[in-house]
Amino acid sequence: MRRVLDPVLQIVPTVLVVSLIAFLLTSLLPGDAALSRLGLDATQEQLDTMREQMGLNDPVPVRYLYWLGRAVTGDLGNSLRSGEPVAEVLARRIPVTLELAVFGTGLALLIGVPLGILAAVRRDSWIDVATNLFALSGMAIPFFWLGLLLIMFFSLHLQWLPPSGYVPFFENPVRNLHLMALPSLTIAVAFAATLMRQTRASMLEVLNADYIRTAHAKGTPPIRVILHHALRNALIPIITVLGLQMGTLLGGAIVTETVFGLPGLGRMMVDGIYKRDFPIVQGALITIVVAIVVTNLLTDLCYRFVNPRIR
Amino acid sequence: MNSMMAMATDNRAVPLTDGPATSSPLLGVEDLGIAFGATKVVEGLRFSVDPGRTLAIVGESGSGKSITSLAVMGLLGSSASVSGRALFRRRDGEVVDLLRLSPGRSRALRGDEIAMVFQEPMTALNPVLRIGDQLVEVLRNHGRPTRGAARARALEMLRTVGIPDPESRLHAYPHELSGGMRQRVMIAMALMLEPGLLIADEPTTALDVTIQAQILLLLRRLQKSLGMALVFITHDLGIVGQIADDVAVMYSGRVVEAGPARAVLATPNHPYTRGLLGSAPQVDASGTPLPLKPIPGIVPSPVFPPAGCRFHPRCGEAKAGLCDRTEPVLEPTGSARGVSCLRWKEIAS
Ligand SMILES: Nc1ncnc2c1ncn2[C@@H]1O[C@H](COP(=O)(O)OP(=O)(O)O)[C@@H](O)[C@H]1O
Ligand SMILES: [Mg+2]
Repeated sequence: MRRVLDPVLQIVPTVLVVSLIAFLLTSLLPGDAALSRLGLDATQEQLDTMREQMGLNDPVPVRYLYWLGRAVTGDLGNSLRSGEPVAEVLARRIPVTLELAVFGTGLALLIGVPLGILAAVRRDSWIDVATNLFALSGMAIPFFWLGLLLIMFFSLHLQWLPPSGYVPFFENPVRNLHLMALPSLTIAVAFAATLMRQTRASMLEVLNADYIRTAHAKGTPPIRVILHHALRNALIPIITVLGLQMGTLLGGAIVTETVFGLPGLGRMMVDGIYKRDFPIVQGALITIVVAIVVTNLLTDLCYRFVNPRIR
Repeated sequence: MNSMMAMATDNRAVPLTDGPATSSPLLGVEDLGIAFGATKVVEGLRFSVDPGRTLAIVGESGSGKSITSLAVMGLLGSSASVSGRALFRRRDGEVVDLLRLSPGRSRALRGDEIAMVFQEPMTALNPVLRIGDQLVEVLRNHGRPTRGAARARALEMLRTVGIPDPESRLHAYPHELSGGMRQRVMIAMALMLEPGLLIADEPTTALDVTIQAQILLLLRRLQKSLGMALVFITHDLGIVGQIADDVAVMYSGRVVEAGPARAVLATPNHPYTRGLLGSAPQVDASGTPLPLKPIPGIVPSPVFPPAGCRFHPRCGEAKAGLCDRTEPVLEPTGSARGVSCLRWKEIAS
């Protein structure tokens, strides 16, 4: 139980520090929230009243504690623009990004790990060269460019998939999957490339290990040696990379959501910044960071699961 | 029978055992060559192992013992080119050349009829799999045991190799066991299907002295009780007398002396064998340790082997104009012994 509890408790300070940074970032950003709420023709008097109402005149530590106290009870404030509670906006936005992240990660694993295994087992063959080429281009190509290329090819040229829009999965699953295919592929490619290279590297290392020779010596079928004996060990560093890449993945999600017009967390944050809607930006930022911290926690637990030596 | 006769008439061939002449060897390695690219690491290697007997292969580090055993197991990677023959007699009597088996047939023999124990118990077991699963896997690789039968056999083998509290060890991971215990697990794993031949490549080298003695005793006991043939590889001629019936001394990828262990240890014919005896810990009649006399120099690199006898640069008996010109071959010296030295007769007298 402690094994699970300790890492969970360890994330509390991380989240606190990040919440402070998120709060400071947005409250120190240039631009006047009261002004952006009331518009340019507001009088000085109206602005002062609004600032007082919004608590903008309180000292920063007081504002932070107020904000934090409400945040932990789920009250992240209201949008300065629409007045809608941030929590409700989040409830609408999170499923979009979550779906994108899950599909993106799933696709990346499905592409990256098998290709990495193949490249390691057929080292220096044309497969190795081809997958390495894929990995290099996959990591070099920016998300927005890849997204646009995919739209051009699959939507405009082949007309197989819609270029943008969003329908919730439970409303129309088929339409949802159609719409999510290209965005998921967009964020999956770079991730798959990284996973592929890590898989190849750790498989190559593991395949040289003494216990692989032992596995062969006892007559284990080659496929089983690769998938059972080698991969189980190679997974340990792969899982580490998986966790480390979550930040990149969510960063990619922000760009990808913008390219494909998906109403997710990334778009929420970008729109919030343009509109100086600080509670919205804070809410999105905190959610993204908590997501990263939680996936790192899950990674850590997974790591403990596959590696009996640190249990 | 046939191969024994053939070997006796071939003047390079030496039957390495003094066992009954009717038993043909379980494993007969003939003219084995192993090369990595242009570098010939093993050449013209020849030895045989009779059923139920122990052959020790002795030689300093780098003399080619490990790659020889890997070649016999069919575990050398594709970077090595292997020539010669390694005739193995299967349980059903069929004789196969281990060097020319298809990958599938080679795999079917490994772990079932031929098994191997390695030098490094700390790294030879898979760190993320439970001991029990690693043991049971041998049975799965060669058949379809029921879960209960497989577990029972694993338990039985852990008991046989002297592991305390075997039930709980089944669920342990390798890192929870000491080096000596891991080597016992390796032995248990190798013997799951009672192979006719066990190759143990320096199984005690990585262990400390008291554990070494225990493992040695265990191997000896199991070899006798299972009636299997054992190829025991070591760099320590001092151990050979404790375990082996026969011995083949290897130097720089060749056998330089071979024969019944007791005879070779008592009257070594080759200067290298004498050198190894001098460098192994020895005691005199009263039990006081004799001073060690290590052989000067090192095993030559197979990339630039010396001309003539490969041992001559380190040999106290080497004669200029002879030993650095002519390469000796393994020749019979009587009573199932052989030596590969141009001057062995002069040295002996
Ligand atoms: N994969 C390889 N490529 C090239 N040379 C090798 C390879 N493996 C072993 N050798 C060479 O073969 C020789 C014998 O090695 P080895 O069989 O490990 O000796 P031993 O077990 O007697 O100490 C050494 O000189 C070593 O450098
Ligand atoms: Mg060795």
